[in-house]
Amino acid sequence: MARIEFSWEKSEQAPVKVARRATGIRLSDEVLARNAVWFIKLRWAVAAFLLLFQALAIFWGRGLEHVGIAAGGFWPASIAVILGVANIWYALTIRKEGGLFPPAINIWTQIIVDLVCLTFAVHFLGSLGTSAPFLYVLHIVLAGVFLSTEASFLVLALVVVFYGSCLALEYGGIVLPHSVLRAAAPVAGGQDAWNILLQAASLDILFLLVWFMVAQLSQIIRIRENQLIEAEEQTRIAQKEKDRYAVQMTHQLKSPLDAIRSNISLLVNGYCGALPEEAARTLKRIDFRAKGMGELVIDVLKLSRVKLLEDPQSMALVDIGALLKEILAELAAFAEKRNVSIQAELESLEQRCFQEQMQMFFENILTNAISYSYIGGSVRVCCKGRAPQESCVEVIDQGIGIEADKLPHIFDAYFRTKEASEYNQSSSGIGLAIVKQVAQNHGLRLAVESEPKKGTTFSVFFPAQVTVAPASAV
Amino acid sequence: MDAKKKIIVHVDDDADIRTTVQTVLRNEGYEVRSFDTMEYFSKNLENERPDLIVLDIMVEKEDSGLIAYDEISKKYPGIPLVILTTLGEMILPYFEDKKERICILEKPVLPERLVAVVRSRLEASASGNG
Repeated sequence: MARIEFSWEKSEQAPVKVARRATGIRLSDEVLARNAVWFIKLRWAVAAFLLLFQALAIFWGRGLEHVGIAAGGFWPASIAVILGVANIWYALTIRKEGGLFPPAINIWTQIIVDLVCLTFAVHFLGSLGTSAPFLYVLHIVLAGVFLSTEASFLVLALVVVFYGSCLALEYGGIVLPHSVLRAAAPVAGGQDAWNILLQAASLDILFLLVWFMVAQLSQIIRIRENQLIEAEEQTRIAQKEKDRYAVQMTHQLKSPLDAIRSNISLLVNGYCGALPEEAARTLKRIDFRAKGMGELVIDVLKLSRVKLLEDPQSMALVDIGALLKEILAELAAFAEKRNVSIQAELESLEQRCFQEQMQMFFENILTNAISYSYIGGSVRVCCKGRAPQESCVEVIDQGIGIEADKLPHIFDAYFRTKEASEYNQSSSGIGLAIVKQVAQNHGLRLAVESEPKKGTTFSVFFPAQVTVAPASAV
Repeated sequence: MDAKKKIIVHVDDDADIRTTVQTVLRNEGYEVRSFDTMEYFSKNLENERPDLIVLDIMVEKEDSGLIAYDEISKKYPGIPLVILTTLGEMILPYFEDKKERICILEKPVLPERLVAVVRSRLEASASGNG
């Protein structure tokens, strides 16, 4: 018995929406919100670091003083709590559709909260003589990457205002300057005003340079990104046009066949009077071949459709067990006609997929299993919702089987073995090409095990994203 | 009302399909009105309300059947509709939110299948489930 496994790379689509404005390019609210999620994680890390610093200050204050760090008060814990509350609020509101505020307002609130917290941290860590003010650079870089040029410049302006206010309050005598570094401990009124101004101005110039470079680079990347999205949109339009053309072609090719077969059905069903037996048999043979041709035309359209790039958003959670049950019900008459019995053990298995594609996928596999079974044979269908490692569907027939050297080609369009062509003349040879394309679209792995004149087993393995519902025999 | 006097309207620009549907349904005792354009069909619909409509999708234009389907569904929600199309279920993507309710037959339809579907849709309509 020969066995071969097939797996095809899933083409990843990562639609990124960029909203164009007359004055520039900015990322959409949706993208902003998605990118802000990892920023929440970063902020949790900062809050954790502040709490650790606070704990060290409480329980190992002497040790810190020994290495020159003067950690007094509860400012690290206070800032950590504010960041934590802001994070929780943000996490709750950002996921809520149609929330109280649009994502943009939410994000700006978070930016301001962050800058206020950072300014307090800079004040306590040391606004001059320490590297604390350089923490503002992180905000400027993030704003440059995620926000529009104008918005990131606004963040830069806020940084300049907040840092300037901190220095003005400290060295204007309103609040006492502070530093965690004992060696750099400032003295109120001990700094020359021009010196402070010079230090603040040099830092502001640095902030401006960082903002300019990041904003320029981001702008280049966004323009490229926008071009990619436009190209994707063009592809989608071209695909729609291609589908329209395929539909028209299918209609034009199949309509005459339908007309011929409709007339044949009138003749063989006696609507035009009784026919000689031989004439009826001949008409049925004509109908059989016309039917095959009609199916080929429809299969070409199906293959063309499954090759289109679908929007991942149109995927739905589908119970594969229930879907198989429906398909088997549709194929019951066909199986009965071929005197093929079907045994089904179908557990519930939920899978995110393009429902129509998945239906075509299993229709083709099951139709093949019935078509290539010997008369009086049986087909077994198992859907294992709770398989130990991977969820899978197995379709096992006891039919004509496939030679080992032909197995690698069975998913090629129009490929048919000599035995299959002889056994089933009406097949289009496209069914398994559709199966391959759908497997590719969903990242499915297939295994085919076959022995000539003994039968074939098709195993379909679903990727790990499967959500397993409680098992129940269908 | 006797089921055999029900009026079925069929719209299709293919004469062979019209003849087939007419022959099969008349043989079952239905009154069949056939139209080869949506325009004639629409004019007739204002004068005579059928019990069931069998619609092709690509009549003259590629979407005329879809437009007619939408209009009839809104204007005459009580009339059951059956789509009889060359493309069969391949037209489903055009129906999006109606996928569950729509009745689609692929051409060429077997006479017994056509009769069974027409009969069941008329019965469902009569019982108020159509």
